[in-house]
Formats: sequence, C-alpha cells, structure tokens
Amino acid sequence: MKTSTNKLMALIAATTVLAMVLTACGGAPAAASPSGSKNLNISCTTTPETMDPHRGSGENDLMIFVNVYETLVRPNDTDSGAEAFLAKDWTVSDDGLSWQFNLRDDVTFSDGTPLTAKDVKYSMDRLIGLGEGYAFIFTDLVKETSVVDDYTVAFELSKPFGPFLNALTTVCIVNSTLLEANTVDGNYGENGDYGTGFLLTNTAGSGPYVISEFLVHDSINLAKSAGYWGTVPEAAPDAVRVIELQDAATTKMMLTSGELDMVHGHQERTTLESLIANEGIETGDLPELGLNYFMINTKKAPTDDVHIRRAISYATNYEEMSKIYGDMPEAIGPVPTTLWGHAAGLNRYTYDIDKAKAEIAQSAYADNLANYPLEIAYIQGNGDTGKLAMLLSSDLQAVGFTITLNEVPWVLFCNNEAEVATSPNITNAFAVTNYPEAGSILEFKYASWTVGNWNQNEWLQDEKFDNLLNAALETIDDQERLDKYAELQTYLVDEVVPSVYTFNSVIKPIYNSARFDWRLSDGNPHPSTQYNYYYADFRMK
Amino acid sequence: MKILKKTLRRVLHTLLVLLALSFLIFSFIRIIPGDPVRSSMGPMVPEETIQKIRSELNFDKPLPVQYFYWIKGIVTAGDFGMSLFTHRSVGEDIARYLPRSLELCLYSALLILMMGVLLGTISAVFKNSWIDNVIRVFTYFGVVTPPYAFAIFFMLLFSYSLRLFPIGGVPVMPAEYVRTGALGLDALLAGDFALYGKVMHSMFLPVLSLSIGGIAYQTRIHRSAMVENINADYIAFARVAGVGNGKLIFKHLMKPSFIPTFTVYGLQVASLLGNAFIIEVLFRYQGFSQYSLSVIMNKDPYGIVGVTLIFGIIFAVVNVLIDMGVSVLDPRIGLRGEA
Repeated sequence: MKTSTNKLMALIAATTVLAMVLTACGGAPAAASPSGSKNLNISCTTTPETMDPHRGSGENDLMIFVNVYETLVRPNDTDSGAEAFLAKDWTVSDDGLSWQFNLRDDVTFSDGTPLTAKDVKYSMDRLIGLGEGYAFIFTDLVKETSVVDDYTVAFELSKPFGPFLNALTTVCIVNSTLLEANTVDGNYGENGDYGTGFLLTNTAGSGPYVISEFLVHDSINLAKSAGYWGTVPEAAPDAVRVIELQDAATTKMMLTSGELDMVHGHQERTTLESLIANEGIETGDLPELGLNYFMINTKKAPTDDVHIRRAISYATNYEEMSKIYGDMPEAIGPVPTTLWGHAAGLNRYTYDIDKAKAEIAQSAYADNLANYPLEIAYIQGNGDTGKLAMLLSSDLQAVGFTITLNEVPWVLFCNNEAEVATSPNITNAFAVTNYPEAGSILEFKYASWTVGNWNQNEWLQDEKFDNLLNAALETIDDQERLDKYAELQTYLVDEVVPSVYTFNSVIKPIYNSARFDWRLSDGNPHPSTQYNYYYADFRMK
Repeated sequence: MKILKKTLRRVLHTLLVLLALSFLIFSFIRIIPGDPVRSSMGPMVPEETIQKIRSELNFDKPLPVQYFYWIKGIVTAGDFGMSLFTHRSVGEDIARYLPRSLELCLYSALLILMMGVLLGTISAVFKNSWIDNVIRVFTYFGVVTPPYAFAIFFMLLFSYSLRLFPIGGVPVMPAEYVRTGALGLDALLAGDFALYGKVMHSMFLPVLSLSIGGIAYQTRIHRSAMVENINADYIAFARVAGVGNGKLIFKHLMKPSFIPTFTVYGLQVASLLGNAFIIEVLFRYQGFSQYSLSVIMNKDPYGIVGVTLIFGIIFAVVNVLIDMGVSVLDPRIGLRGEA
C-alpha cells in the first residue's frame, strides 16, 4: 500500500513539474531591442578552440577569422569566384607555375604595422610549416614564396594548379613582426613554436575587428578595430559577442528575451519552428558550399555493381529527406549548386521505386540479393542524419534489400573508413568544400589519392576520373577548367553513380529582425557561408 | 595515534587504487579502435603531420612506455599530457575548469547539508503533522524530478518571466583577478565584493537546481534516522529524566541520527560533479563536467584519463573524509575495513 502511495505521489510530482514547464514554454513575443545598443550577440553550438587562422578550418572558426584576418583574394558574392582584396592584381606565367601578386600599399595590421610582402611570405611558410588547417592544399604545391619588393610577392608552384587563386582565399595573412616577437621555443626548428602559443588567445590580423576577449568553449568578444585601414560603416556593430550555447530551452529563452540576437547552426526542426513562431524572430537559407551524401562503397558487394548504385539512387526519397532537414534545396550532381564550377543541365535521379526494381533486375545480384545484406552507417549524434538513414533503409527494404543499420561513434566511423574492407556499403555524411571551387570537393570526394578519409566511403579509384580531374586542376584558363569540371560531373552522374546527392546543405540561422539588417534579410546571401558573418556588413537598428 | 595510523593506511590504499584506475583507463582508451589524432586533425592533414603529432604525444611507443611517460609527467611536473581537443595541456585545462565546478559543487554541498538536516529535523519533530506532510511532498518532488527539469523551471520563472537572474552565463573575470580559477573566490581574493555579488547572483540558480534532489534525499534520510532514534529507549529515558525538548533534539538525537545522514551525504557530494554536467550546459557555466563530456565525446586520450583520474581522486578523498567523519561521530565504528 505504501509503495502504491509513493508511486502516486511521484507521478503527481513529476506531472505537475512537467505541466509547469510546458505552460511556461509557450510562445512569447521577442523582446524589444536594448535601446541604442550596437552590440551583437550570437550563439554557436561550439566556439573555436584556437584563434590561430593557420590551424582552424571549421565553419565556426572561419566565421571569426573573416572578421579578424584578411586574404590576398576573397570569394565574390555572386558565384564564389576569387576577387581582389589585399592583392590589387596578379599575373600568372604561361606554364602556370609562377604567380605574382601586387599588394595594396595602404593596409595596416590592427597594431598599426604596415602589411607587406614579408607578411604574406611568413603566412604561407607558417601555414605549410604547421601542417594543419588548410596546409594540405599547399604543402606539395608551393615550392617557394618570395618577396619581390615590399608590395610584391611571388609563388613558385611545383605543378600548374588552376584553382590556385580560389585556394588562396583560405590563407589568412598574419602580422609577422608581432608573431616573431612572441615566438618561444617549440617544435618547429628555427621558428620555435611559430607563435602558436601566442595565437591560442591573441590575434595578429588586419581585419575590421579584433578579438577583445577569448574564453575557450565559452565566448569570443570582438570589437571594432580602432585603426582599421579600410572603412567600416557607422551602422556596423561596435562589438560582437559569440557565445557557445547548446541547449534548446536556454537558446529559446535568451533569443526571445533579447539577450541573444542570432542563433547560428543547425537546430532540430521542432526547435526551429517553435522559435520562429515568436514575433520578430525569423530565419532563412544561407547556402553552405556542401552537400549531404549517401556515399556508396563501389568496391564492396553488392554496391560494386553500378545497377545496384542506380537502384539506391532511385530508392531515395529526396523530398522527404529535404523536409527532415527543414526544406533543403535540391542537389543536382556531386557539386553544390552555389559552388564555382557546378555544371548546369546534369541528369537527376528521382524517387521511383519501379525504376529501382528494374535496375536491381539488371544487376549481377538480381537472383541472390538476399545473400548480400547492405550495411548503412551514420555518425552518432550528427543531427538528423540517422533519420535520413532510416528512411533510405525503409525504402531499400521495400525493393528487396536486407539492411543492417548502424549508428557509429565518430572516431570509430573515421577508423572504419580507413580501409575498404571495413567501410560500410553506404554511409551518410555532409561534405563541404575546402576552397570555393568544384575541384576541391571533387578531389577529396573521389580522387584515388584521397581514399581512406571519411569523406570518401565511395573508394572510387577510377582511372578515367583521376585523369579528367588532373587535367582540370592543371588548367589555368577558367572557362576551360569549367568545361572539364562539367565533363567530370556528367561522368559521375551518368556512368559511375558513386553517391546519392541528397540535398544542398544550407544553414538556417535564427535571428531577431528588430535588431539588425544583414545579407540574409536583404535577400542577398553570400555563397561562402562565413562571409555572411562579415560583421562590417551588418546594419544595427 | 591509532586513528592517524588507520588514516595513513587508508590513504595508501587509496593511492594504490588510483594508480590501478589510471592504468586501466589509460589502457582502455588506447586499445579501443580509432585514431584520435587523425579524427581530431581532419581528413586532409598530411600523414607526416599526423605522425609528428603522434610522436610528440608518445603514441608511437608501446603502451607500457606511453603509460610510464604519462605517469612520470604527472608526478614530476604535474603534466597530464596534451589535449587533442583543446590543443592545450590537460593539466592547464583541468586547472581552468575544475576550480569553478568545485566551487559550484561546494555551495551545492553546503546547501544540501544545511537544508537537508534542517528540513529532516523539522519533519521528524513534527512527524505526521501538516508541516511533515508538506516537507514530505517536497521530498517526493525533489527525488523524482531530474535536476534539468528544475533548472529549466527556475530559468523560466526567475530569469525569463521575473527577470531576477540572468539566463545563464557568468560574469567576466578580469585577467588580473584570476588566481584559483574559482570565480567567487577569485573575486573575494581581489577584494571586489561587487563582482563577488554578481558571481553569486549568476550562480544562485545553478546551485539551487543542482541541490534540490540532494536536499530532498537528505531530508528523507535524516528524517528516518531521527524518527528511529526518537523511539529509542535512551530518548524515553532522557524524557523521563526531564531533559528539555531543545536539548533532547540537538544533544541526544542529532548526533546519532547524523551518522547515516553523513554517510549518504558523502556519496551525494562525490557525485555532484558528475551531476553538474547538465546544469553546466543549461546555465552556460563552462566547467569541469562539461569539459569532461567534451573530451570523452572527442575521444581525447589524455583528456579522458586526466578527467577520470580527477573524478577518481575526488571520490576517493570524499570517501576517506566520510570514513574519518563517521568514526569521529561514532567511535565504535573504525575506518572502513578496520572495524
């Protein structure tokens, strides 16, 4: 009897608390903006671990770096192709091996030191010397960086590389004088620690903002750079605070109470809908130069048969998958539609169970499909990718496959991808380009020399593809290179079918429209995600 | 003298247990599949860089040698190794995050002890009265409701609706104030009482949310012990002898009733750090519990063994203290294993 009473009391207690919480969680109007405040408060699910622009390469790192550091060239806001920035202009030799850049002579770092060719050389040498971040693009490519004069720098390449200009959008130029003065003994020979200790919490850039405070995994505060060489509009925020925030309930309370102006990063659909139900809280699509892929292992039975891979492409419910992530734009081929080099007019697979069955019937496994169970793996805790995998699993079972669905911890996922034998038949993951050009994503997704990484469960190792890709990457002329990229994409979609291109990845930031205008509210998002967070472009209200 | 000898023996046992724990965790982390260096550095970082980092972290050496270097680093230089997750020394990370979480847990532990004993005593003294019933209903709530539900409820009520407290976050500590890493303590040491007030203001709801379950449980334990002792012969004898109610409760009842309370309390205090995780996430109180989960999720080898060892040390130290406390409260009980 006593036990029953205890249980009843417990039930009443739990129900009452739940009712109170649910009642209090109802929609509320967004708080009025703090009067006259030109401080912008943004949350991210994770903040960068380092402020070193030559070590970080994650999206949240880049969101900060673009405000603090500058590059020789940067992606333009129409097709993400490179445009002049710190470099006024440039020339390239006929053989594509020598690139020379003329720098602006009016640029200074935030401490007033002029930015010269010496800083550019130091930055490229440091990036390659550290070997982290985007160094892999340049390590075997840049033979030498030399200072021609104070405002002219030259790069000598080991092979012609057409995307060199677009690749340079990833190289932040650091203040060599400041870093050399703050270098201590370390692991990089005569370069000591290359200033890595200093840059864990300090900055050495020439951008419109400086980092005023950096608390690891807590917050980053940016302030307008007092001596910025360029012009920052008066309406731009005086200070920006980026906080790390993971919990949906806290996020909602902070956003609707006015303590937060914007939430960056993927939110579950229900959270997103509950947030934008509040007055003044809006969202929109910021393109991410990446796709969601089902990566199909082309070297493992039964997915080594192209008909099986086509069947999988036809058995994918693209529309429903897009809805799971909050109406993502459709993917057309292996290259994001907003990325420089995406080919127009590619064929698309549509959800068609009958066509899937017809493809299976043409495959070598038509008579004994049950003997070849398909393993589908997705990364534990990676947003809603599990739901995508479950949906595909359900449709594949409907056309006759036997499915093993595995949720795999991240580290084990990476480990499995290192060998073709341990790579599952199908994995789901997002892949984002490293530099804004189709060649980047095509290389790390499908080239033979990049197998063994978790972005290439396909294990394509296709000689024809490799030759076409090498030819494209060595082409300096933009139009010729575009044509070769188009040929590569057609080949993949029509003949090889190594992946299912589920949808283009977009980010749906949630923001308080009463506080500021920006590219998204203007309907003019930048194709490179991080440049949407160029705070000098924000206009506080 | 005897108690000192017993305590020393207990401490030695504890050290051996911690050593064994460290070896076990170190081995488990290193033998489970997956390359933590590769997964933390990204797919495109050249193999030479990966090998260089492996070598710097001694991952290219046999497991016993790795363990030897690691334990040697801790003993000789307090160096727990390099975190692949934060790119800093794990010791530095622990020094950064642990004090602020310990401070959170300390305030919570004090609140649990004071409120648990107070409510338990009131409940027992007024057994079966309306006061007892109210307190018992509260304890049901407290025990069955997880801390995160209280945290969200308190935030909605006190922060969001009434605007009495901030929705998470802690005041920024000026760099020159940072001495121990514990926010309130650093503010006090710097003599900045206004900042200390702000820290306490921001810590109030996290502490309260973390404590409610403990207070409820402690109240129930203390009430039971008190009620049991109230019916004991020696209390009846004391009443007959004319001992007043106040003296009866505080002198004759409190001390024996405190023994089970104290034992359970010890375990609760030791587990506070683990329970603090969700509180730290909800209130954006970047502390050790959240750091621990991050290194585990990122399979950061030195981070994991470092935080596991710290949790082990805290449990061991609290256990020794509880055993000592209990043996002081009741001399008939020796230190564990010695009775």
